[in-house]
Amino acid sequence: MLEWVKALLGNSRVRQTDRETKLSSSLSVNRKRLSQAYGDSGDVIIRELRVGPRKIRVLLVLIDGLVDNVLIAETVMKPLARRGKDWKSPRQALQELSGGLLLNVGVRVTRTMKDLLEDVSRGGCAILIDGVDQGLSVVVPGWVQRNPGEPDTEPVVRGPKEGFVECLRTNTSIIRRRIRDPRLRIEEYQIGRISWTKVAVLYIEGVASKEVLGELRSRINKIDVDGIGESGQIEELIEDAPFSPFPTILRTERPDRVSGGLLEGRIAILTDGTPFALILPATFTMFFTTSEDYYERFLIGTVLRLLRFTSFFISLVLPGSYVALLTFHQEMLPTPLILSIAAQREGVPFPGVVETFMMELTFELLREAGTRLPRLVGSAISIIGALVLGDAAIRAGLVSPAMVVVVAFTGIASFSAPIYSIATGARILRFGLIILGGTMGLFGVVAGLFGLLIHLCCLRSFGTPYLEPLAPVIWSDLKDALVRFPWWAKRTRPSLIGVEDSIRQVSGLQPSPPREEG
Amino acid sequence: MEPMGTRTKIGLIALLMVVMLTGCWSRRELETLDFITAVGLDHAAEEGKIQVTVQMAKPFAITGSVQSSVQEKPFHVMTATGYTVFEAVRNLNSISPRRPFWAHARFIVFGEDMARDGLQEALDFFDRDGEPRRTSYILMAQGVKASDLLQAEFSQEPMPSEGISELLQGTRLAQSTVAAMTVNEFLQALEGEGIDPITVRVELIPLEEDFAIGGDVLRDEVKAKTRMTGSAIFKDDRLVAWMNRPQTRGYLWVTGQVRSGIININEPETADAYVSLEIVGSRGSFKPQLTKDGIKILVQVEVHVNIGEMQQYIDIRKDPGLWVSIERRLTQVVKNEIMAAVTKAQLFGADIFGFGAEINRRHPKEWRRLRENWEEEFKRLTVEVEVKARIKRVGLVINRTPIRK
Repeated sequence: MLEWVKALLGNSRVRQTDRETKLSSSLSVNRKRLSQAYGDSGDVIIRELRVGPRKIRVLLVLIDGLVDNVLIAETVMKPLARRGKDWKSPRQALQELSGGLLLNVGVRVTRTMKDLLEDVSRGGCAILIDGVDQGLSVVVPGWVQRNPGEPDTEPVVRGPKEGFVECLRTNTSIIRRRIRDPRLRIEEYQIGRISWTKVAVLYIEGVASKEVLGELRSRINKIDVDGIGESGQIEELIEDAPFSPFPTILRTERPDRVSGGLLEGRIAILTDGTPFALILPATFTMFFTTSEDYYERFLIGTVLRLLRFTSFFISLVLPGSYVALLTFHQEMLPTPLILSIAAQREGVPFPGVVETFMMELTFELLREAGTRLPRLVGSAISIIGALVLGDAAIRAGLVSPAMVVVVAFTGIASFSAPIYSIATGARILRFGLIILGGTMGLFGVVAGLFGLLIHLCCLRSFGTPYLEPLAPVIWSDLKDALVRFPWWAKRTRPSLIGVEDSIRQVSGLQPSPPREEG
Repeated sequence: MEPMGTRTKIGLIALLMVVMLTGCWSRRELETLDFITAVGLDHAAEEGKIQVTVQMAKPFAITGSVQSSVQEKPFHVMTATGYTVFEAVRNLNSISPRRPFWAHARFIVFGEDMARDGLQEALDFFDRDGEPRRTSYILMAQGVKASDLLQAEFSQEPMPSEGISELLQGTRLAQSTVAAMTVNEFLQALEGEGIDPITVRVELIPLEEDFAIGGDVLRDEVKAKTRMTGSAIFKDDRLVAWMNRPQTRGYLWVTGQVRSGIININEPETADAYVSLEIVGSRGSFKPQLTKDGIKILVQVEVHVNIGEMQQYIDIRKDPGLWVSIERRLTQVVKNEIMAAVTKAQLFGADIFGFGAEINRRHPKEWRRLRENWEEEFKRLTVEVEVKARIKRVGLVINRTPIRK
C-alpha cells in the first residue's frame, strides 16, 4: 500500500518536472506539447495565424468561457492585424508585442510550458511565435460571476450589504477598496496539484505579527493536496487543534469583518472559488461578535454581545441541566415548578434523559432536514416538525410539554450565535452534557463544563491563547471581548496580536460639546 | 492521525467507565416520587408511638396538566405510625406506591398534645436526615391534632400547604401578629442558652353548613379552614402557653421584627371613634443592664406610622397638640403590648426574647453566675420600655370639612 502511494507520488513529481520544460523555438513542437497537455478538450482553442507578408506563424491558445471574446478582439487580434504586416522577424514580433503593442496591462512573457499553461487556465490568452522560444500571455478573463450581494450567513441590519464572491480577484479588490494603504499586502499561493487554486494571504505590513505570518507561511507551504474545494479545507490543514469542537480560525463572508481583522493585526486568507474568508489568529470571544456590534452605538453592541454569550451558554447546558434537575435534584426547583413538571411528566413512558435525548435528536434532525431540503419543500418540514412532532407527541403522551419548551429554548438560543461554526460545536457538546447530566446529575454537568473550560484554556490559535483576554486576563483587551467599549476608548490593538504597532488612534477622541466661555 | 498514547487510552477508558458503569447512580425519576408538601406529627393512639401525617401532592390532578380534572383534589393525606419518626416515615412506604420525597415540605405542624409533652425526640429526624429542609416552618395546632389540620383547605388555593405558607407570609407582613420559626431557627433556640423557642399558632375553624364556596376551584367540600392567630411559646422543648395577637406583637417589637400592621387608638376627643395607624417601619432592640437591684432590660423601640383612617375628622394642622396626643397614645399601646408579652413570658419562665443569650453576649462573666438559676432570674427581672413614635404621613386627606350633624 505504502509502496504504491510512494510510486504515485514519484510519478506525479516526474510529471511536474515535465511541465517545467522550456518552450521550444519551434512552433510545431510547442503546439504538439500543448495538444498533448490538453488532450482534445472541447473548450481549448488553439488557433494558428499567419501574420504579415513574411507569414510569421503565430499561435493563440485560450480556453473558451474563461476569456472575454471582445477583449481578445480589441487587445490581441486588432494589433496583430494592424501591425503584423511590418514585422520582419519573429523576434521583432515578440519585442513589439511585449513592448506595448498589446493593448492590455496584464502581459507576461513566459519561458516555460508550466507558466504558459497556468496563464491559459486562469483566463489568459497565450501567444506563441514560431522561431522564438518565448511566449506571451495576455490576461483577458471574462467568465460569469455572481454579483457581491449581502451574505446569507451573516446578515446585518446596519452595515455594508456587500459580501465576498467566489472570484478571488474580486474579493481582493473589495478589500483593497476598504484598505487603500499600500501596506496592505496580498501574498498569493497556488495550492492543489490538480486544482491549481489561488490562495491569497492578506495582512498589513507593520501591523500584523511577523512571527504569526512566518508560521502561517510555513503551514501553507506544507499543504500538498490534489485540490482545494473550499477554504474549510485550508482551515483544517493549518489549524492548531484539529480535534477540538471549537474552531480556532474564524471564517466569514463579510469584507468588513476581514478588513476589521486586518486593522487589528490579524491575517486573512482568501481562497479562489469560495466566498468564505479565514481570519486568524482567532479567539473565543471573536465568535460572538458581529460586525454590527461595531456599527451600532456601543451600548447596544455590548448588550447584544452579552446576550449572545448567555444564549451560547444556555444552548450548551440547558438540556443537560434540565435532565440533571429532573432526575437527581428535585429539591432544587421551587415547589410549584417541580409539581407542574411532575404533572406534565405524569404518564410519560421514558426516563428524563431518554426523553431529552430523543427530543434534542428530533430537533437536530428537523434542523438538518430544513437546511438540506430544497426551499420549495421546506415548508413541509416545518409543518411536520411543529404539528406532528411538537403537538402530537405531547398529546400522545410521549413527551412532556416542559421538555418541548426546553428544546425549543435551546434551539433558539443556539441560533443566536453569529458564527455558525461555534454553534455547531455547542450542538455536539450539548449531547455530551445531556449524557453526563443524566448519569451523574449536576455534578456531571459541572464536571463536563470544567473539562471544557480546561480544554478551552489549552487551545491556541497561531500562538494566541484561545480565551485571551479572559484567560490569561489582559485588562486592556477586555475593551472588546465580552463588552465593546466605545470607539474613542479603543486606543490600542489587541496586545497579543497587533504587537508590531500597538497604537491604533490618538487618545482623547471622546466627543463632548464645547465648553461655554464665561 | 497520530497513534494515541497509552496514557490517553487509559484515561479515555477510565472516563468511559465512570459514565457507563455507575449506571445513573442515585437517579430518581420524577414520576416515582411522591412530593410531601406538609408534615404533621401527633401522639399515636397506641401508647408511646408517634403518628406521622403527610400531605402529598397528586401531580396528575394539578390544573394545567392535560389529564387533570378540576373536581379532583390535587393532594392527599396519609398517616403512618412508629416508635420513632424515622420508623413511621419508612412505614409510609408500605402504603404509598411512590417514594416519599421530603425536600418540598413547606412546614411541620405539631398537635398540641405532642407539643405539650416535648418536641425533642420528634425533631431529631428533621435535624439529622438530609432530605427534609431546615427552612420549613414549624407550626403548632391549637386544640386539634396535626392530622386534622392537614385536612383543612382553602377555597382559593388548590394546595393547602401552599395556602398555609402564603397565609403565614401574609400574616407576618400585613399584621405582624405571628412569630414563626423555621426548623433551623427552632433548633437554634432550643439548643441555645438563655433563649426559648416561639412559633406560630394555627387554629382550625370549622365551617358553617351553609358556607358557599365561590371562585373557580370546584370542590366537593371544604371541611375546614385555618387561621393564624398569635403564637405558641416554649419552655425548653415543651409548649407551655399560647400568646394572643397583641402579645405576639409585643414579642416582635422587642426583637425588632415588626414589619407592618394596624394599631387602633381612640380619637383624642371622642372615646367611641377610632384612629387607625398603619405601621410603616419599626426598629427594636434591647440592652441588659446588670445593677445592684437586679437585672434590668432596657427595650428601645422606634415606630413610624401613617394615619390610615380617622373615623371622626380632626384637622391636625390646627391643633398640634392632637398630633402629640396621638403619638403619646401610640407609645402607650406599644408599651402595653410589650409588657403583656413580657408578663406572659415571665409567668411561664420562657425566655423567648433571648434576654439570657444577650446577657451571655454582653456580660459573659456574669452570665456564668446567672445561668444556673436563669429561670428564676428571668421571672424576677424588670423591663423598662422606651418607645419613640412618629407619625410620618396622614394619607391623601389634608383638609376636609367635618360633616355637620
